[in-house]
Amino acid sequence: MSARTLRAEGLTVETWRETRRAREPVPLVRDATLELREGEVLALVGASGSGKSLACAALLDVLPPGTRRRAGCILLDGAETEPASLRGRAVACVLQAPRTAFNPLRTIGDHAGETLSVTGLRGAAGRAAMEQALAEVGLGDDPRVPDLYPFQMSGGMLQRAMIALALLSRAPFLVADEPTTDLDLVAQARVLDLLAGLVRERGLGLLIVTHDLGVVARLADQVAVMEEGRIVETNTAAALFAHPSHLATRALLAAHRALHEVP
Amino acid sequence: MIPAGFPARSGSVAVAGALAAGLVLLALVGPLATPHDPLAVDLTRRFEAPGFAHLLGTDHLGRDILSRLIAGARTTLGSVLAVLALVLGLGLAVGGLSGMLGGRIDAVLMRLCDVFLTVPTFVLALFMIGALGTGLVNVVAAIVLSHWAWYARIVRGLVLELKTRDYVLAARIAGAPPLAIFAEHVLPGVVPPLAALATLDIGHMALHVAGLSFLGLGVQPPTPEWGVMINDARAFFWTRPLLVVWPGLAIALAVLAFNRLGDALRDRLDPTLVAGRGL
Repeated sequence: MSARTLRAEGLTVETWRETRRAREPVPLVRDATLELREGEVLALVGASGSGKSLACAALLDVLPPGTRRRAGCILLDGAETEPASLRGRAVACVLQAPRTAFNPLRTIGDHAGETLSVTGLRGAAGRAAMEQALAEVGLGDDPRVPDLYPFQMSGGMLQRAMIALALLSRAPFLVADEPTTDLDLVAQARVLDLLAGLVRERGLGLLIVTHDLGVVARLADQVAVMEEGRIVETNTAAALFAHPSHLATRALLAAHRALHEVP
Repeated sequence: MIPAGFPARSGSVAVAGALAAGLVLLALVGPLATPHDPLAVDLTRRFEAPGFAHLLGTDHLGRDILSRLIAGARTTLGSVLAVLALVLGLGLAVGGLSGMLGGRIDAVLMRLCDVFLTVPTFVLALFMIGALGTGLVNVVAAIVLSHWAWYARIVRGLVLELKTRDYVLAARIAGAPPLAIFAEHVLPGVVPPLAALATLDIGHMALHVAGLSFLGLGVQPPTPEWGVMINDARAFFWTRPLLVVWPGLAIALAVLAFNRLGDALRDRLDPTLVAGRGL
């Protein structure tokens, strides 16, 4: 079987300004094409507001109110697919802020049950799958974890729990929208190692949104650079760092070097 | 606002809670616990003063007032309960649908709410009774129809706010169906403020039931009901003021008790007030 692919082609997202006469469309993502392959990490980088998160939301068809997808299609293994049918089956997601991504009134086990109900696993089999997923992200040592409420866990633990939920869905692709931004450095390193390990061992196709080029250098095979809603450069990570061709890429690299004092 | 005397406040809550519990108990076992038959007419014992035989005295037909008050608790509170259940059900259904689905359905449902909200509640209730006729069932229907839109609006607002939470987004991406998202993630956020509002409204609705009955539009005599009792006693107000005082006191106490409970519940559940209480 050839490697599975998930391709977003020509995604265009817009919002609109109400004028007295008509609605005036304002483009936010313009003709963005992303291709994810099994066992590969694609990093989507760009400055804040460049449309990275919206592109991901469009990929999953969870655009916020006031925006809409104008054009583009999603191809799973080359066949056009309704994005809503991918959710929880072909694509799972890790959100930026673990603190708000869990319902404060529900335990980790409840959240796992919700994910499992989509896959159809229930009862003892579901429980076993949950324990295995928690063990895989390093939360397996403490048997109390499934009964914990989100406020009883640290941000790093929650982020790993979120990755466990993503694994539970058995989706071959994972979208991680700035998964380390809200974590401290130690937790960041653990989450990144965990993601890298999952890509290697499970053959996960990972789309990681970030503005941290350190994350890119560490994980990514392919990099797509976004600026003002457009993907301005796509290249392998090594080539991108060695020969950045677009102005936006150079600016990002320069900013990264200035910040981390690399001569 | 930081409440200055918290112990005193919780004391008043305890009193209100005990009163409300007592009233609910009376409504439940009332007809079994009345000292006399609330409908028994004895014209030889009209306008008897409070005494051992009749603890609160008798009315213009010689009926025992305490028995009528106890029996009336069931009519008044029972109809309020029916009103609340229907209002909450309608409000949750319409507000939930509106908030979850949005778009055109939301617009149509909310314009419908606006129609009901523009008419003053009492006028709408009077109009409904004019159309449907008098009687307890029609009073309940009238109060429900003139109040559900408020609840629908509030539910919709809460749903819209809760829908933007990250965990709802996470559940959507995890592939959870909309109904499951509503039940798991939205409803738990809607229920607490709604419960507080409903408790606050119990007193208000009791006033409506009693008020419409007082006007002769609701419960018909001789059924014991507090509003009807006040209406009956009106004619003798100058000579026997106590006849008005007893059911009036019952209504006032019920309204105060449930209002205080609703206040306490709101304070307890409103997260913006929790910080001030040092919880």
